[in-house]
Amino acid sequence: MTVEDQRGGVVSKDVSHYDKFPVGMRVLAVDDDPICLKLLETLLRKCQYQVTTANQAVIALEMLRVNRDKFDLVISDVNMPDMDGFKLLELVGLEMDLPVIMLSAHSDTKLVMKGITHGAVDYLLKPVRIEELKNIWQHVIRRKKIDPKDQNKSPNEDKACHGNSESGQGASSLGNADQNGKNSRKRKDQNEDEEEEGDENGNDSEDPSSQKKPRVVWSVELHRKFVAAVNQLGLEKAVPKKILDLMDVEGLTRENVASHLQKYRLYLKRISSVASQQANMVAALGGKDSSYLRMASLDGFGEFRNLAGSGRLSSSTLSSYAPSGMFGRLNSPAGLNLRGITSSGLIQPSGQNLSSSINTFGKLQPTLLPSNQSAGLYQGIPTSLELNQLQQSKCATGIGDFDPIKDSTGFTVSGSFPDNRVTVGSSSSLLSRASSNPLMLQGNSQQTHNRGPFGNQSSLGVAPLNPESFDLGIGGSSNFVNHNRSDESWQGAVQLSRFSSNALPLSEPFNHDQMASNNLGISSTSPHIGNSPIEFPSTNVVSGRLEDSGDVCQEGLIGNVVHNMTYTSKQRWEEYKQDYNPNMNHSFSDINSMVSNNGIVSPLGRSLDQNSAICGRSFDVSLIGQLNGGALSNAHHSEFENSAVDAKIKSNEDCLLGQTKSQDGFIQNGYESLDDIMNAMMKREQNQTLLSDGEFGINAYSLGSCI
Amino acid sequence: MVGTDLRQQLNNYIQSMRDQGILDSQFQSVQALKTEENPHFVLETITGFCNDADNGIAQMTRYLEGPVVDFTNLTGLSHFLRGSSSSVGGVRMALACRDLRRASEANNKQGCIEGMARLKHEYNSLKEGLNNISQIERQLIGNAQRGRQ
Repeated sequence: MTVEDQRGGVVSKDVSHYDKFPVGMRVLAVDDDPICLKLLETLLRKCQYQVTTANQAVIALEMLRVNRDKFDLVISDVNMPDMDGFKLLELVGLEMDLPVIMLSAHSDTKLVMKGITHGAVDYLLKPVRIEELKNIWQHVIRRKKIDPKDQNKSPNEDKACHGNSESGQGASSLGNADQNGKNSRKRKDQNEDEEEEGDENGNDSEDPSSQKKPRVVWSVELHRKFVAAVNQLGLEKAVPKKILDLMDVEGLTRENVASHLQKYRLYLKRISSVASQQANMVAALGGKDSSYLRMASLDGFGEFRNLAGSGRLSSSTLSSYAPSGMFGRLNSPAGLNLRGITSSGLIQPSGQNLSSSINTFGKLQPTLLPSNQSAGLYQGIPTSLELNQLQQSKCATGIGDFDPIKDSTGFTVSGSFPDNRVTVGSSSSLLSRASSNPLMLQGNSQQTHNRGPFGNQSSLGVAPLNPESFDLGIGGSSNFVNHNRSDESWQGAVQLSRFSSNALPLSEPFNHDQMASNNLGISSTSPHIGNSPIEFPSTNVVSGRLEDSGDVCQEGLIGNVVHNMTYTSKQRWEEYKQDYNPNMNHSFSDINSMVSNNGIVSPLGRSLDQNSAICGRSFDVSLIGQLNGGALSNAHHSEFENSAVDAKIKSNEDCLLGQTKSQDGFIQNGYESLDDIMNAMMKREQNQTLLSDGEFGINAYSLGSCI
Repeated sequence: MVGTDLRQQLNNYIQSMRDQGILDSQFQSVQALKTEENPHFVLETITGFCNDADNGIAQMTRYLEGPVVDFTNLTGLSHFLRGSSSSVGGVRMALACRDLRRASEANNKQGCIEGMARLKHEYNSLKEGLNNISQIERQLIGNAQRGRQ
């Protein structure tokens, strides 16, 4: 065709496609507005690209997952009802490493910034003009050029790399540079050079082979190793070469690691900033451990699991989502973007445990999700909870009662946990009010335990949360906590929990006082939870006692979480998965909150029946608590424990107690594995009626996990 | 010559709408997308847009008039319509959508009511204009087809 014949060497995968690159470039266009989508499609066709359209983000993701090689570029709208465009962006970037262009009617600088930080290669404004579309192929070339960087250290190499390019000009391989003119070529060369230099990997292309290396898929497993290696070395000291050595994976090049490291760092940055604000919230909610996430992740996990396949998710996805995706989603009317979380769920806890946890969660989710609101959910949960937590199922049941937390968002948080945190994320989601508490999510995602640096963030963040922030933060804080892998992170989480406890009152009536008194109230509160997501907070209040500080935040957090969950989540949940059953969500969130507080989880179980609910809650709580507990125990154990836990829990049920104990256990473990936590929680519950240890709060966390 | 006259008429009409600010150059871009293979492109776009807009506005009205104003959904929908309207070139309507969205984000009920009224007004004038354009378009297409025959 007219396009220069330069072969696009860029796309080595399918030479034929790139023979006339950019003609024939395969684009996937995603937009919920049919008019815009149609226009976009027509415009793209006019540019002689091959276009596939999707009017929903999930559909687009499916298409991409089915065959990532079928596309070269993705153009996506920012505001979509089923999934936040940013989340999609992160997911695609992580999983498939495809260039993504954002599209929006908004020209707000902040949004543009957000898009870029999430990895978008470009940001276009609607209505789109054809002139702009004519240039988008550059992004494909650039990316291709950079990826196989290792091979192309020099233009010559490039040539080789591009293999196809007949022209051999280094740049040309990138893209029919010639045709486009020397400019492109020059540009490419420049880019190349810049990239090469800028690339962390440096040029030690291990394998100067010209052909493009097959794209490396960062599976969960791989990412987990990566994160482990990074943590071992310390984030600052982590250099690709060392990481590569530590990972000891065949076929992986330094370049691959380097580029992945870049993304990972960005992700961390993102979550840390988000986390700091929301960490509090999320942490609390997130149920520190994956267990929590599990719960929440139910929704997310399911997705996550899917993502897991993609492998990329790990942290980056999570992170991005959590903070932005999750939260963003939360805010969106859709309610808790639990979905988003789920995506985050993909986050695949690069952590070790997460995967398993997540799975469990994933299982949970299905059960939970079913909107059965109460019974349905919980019941489902126990099964899904493979986590071992059969015990948890006890709680789960309680959870089920909760009103299906429509706000799945809360849950999603878990899903979103980046890295190991995964579980936590979910809890956060619960917490986060679905509507906007992205924090919540964040908390979860942040959870990556391993993140030492993060852990700190999260925990701290939570505490200060204001009631509002709390809600969000609840989840969030917990997330951060996880970073540290252990207690530290929990601290954050714990903090959140504290808040949550205070926040619990979200349900409205919560007051700190109530909370304190409610700790026991779990039983009483239970009804709350069941009724409205918000109620949950009340129960949490119990846990909230921990804080007693009367921080508004806390109460608010929990309550908010619940609230949010209910409200937003409802919306969101519906969107996402509805399965979540609002109760569930709530419960989770509650649990989370509960857990965070003291494991007050009981409230979560609201639906359970006042009494039983408590148990359930405690379960949840424990779950959460566990999650949190782990974290909490470290930090605030004392606080929580004393206050509400003991008192309340006793009244409520053993469930809670069991959890608290687990909390201790967890916390110490730093939630390395949700399973452990869950187990711990389970045991606790059984053994102890109330978190007598005060760890109860922690249990609450476990609840999170339960969820 | 009828065709030419008709085309001229269409252009004039569009120009007048542009002068009024109802349409902008984007509409021409849309027109440019019409091809031999797809002569109905513009018509379809207009029809689709009007449907979406009608539904959207009705929905937004419901959100606004409920016992409790559903700002969240209102925000989302007004943003959605902003994208649609700007894509077809309805710049004034897009601006009205933007303002409505702002009011909705601020949970400002009164602002929303006013914004909504303005949006409806803009939409009506845009719709009317688009319908007229459609009519001429149809004629043109009909003529062209007849011409081919």
